[in-house]
Amino acid sequence: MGIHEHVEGIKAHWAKNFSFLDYFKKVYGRDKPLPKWTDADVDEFIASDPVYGPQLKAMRESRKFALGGALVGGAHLGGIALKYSKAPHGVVLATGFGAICGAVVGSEVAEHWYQLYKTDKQGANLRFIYWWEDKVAGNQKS
Amino acid sequence: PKMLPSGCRPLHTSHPLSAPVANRPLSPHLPLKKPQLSATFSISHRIFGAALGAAIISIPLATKFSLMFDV
Repeated sequence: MGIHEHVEGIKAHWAKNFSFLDYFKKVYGRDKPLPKWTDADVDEFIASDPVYGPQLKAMRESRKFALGGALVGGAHLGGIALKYSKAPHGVVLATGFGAICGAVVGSEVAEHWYQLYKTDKQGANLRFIYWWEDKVAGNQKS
Repeated sequence: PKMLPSGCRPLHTSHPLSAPVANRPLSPHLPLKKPQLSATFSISHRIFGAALGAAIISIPLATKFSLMFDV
């Protein structure tokens, strides 16, 4: 095997490893950003798509778990800091760190509660983005 | 003179002994010191390390939560 084929193999390997970045390019790297959608638009998509609709709905429900976890984690670690720390900025930092850790734990609970590990999260989001793109284009034509 | 009992005399005063002087240089007198390569490297090493740590923590968190919260 020559060096050229070897380099091609490495390129393919890393392109596969970093293929998840394609999602962010499609969602955030648009030349012209899509008009902002509302919760009603997302609900319309959820009702219309039998495969990705329930997945997107579960993902949106999982936000509550993350926010609740952030609340609990921030209150817990912030409370400990408030009780024992003499530095006011330490209380703020501890509350923030507790909120981040709580949000991660909460989203992990939601992952199992809704079995989100079985879903294609990027796929569900992208399917909605494409649906919204088509809807906006249709509205402009009519 | 009146003596305090043994062990009660404060070694360090919590209030200044003389009236405060405006713009009195504080320890460690950084502006008096000549900048040295080792000190500059040490400071930039810590700044770079803190920035790298913040990036390593926050980029995966941002990718995770953007999937959940941005649509």
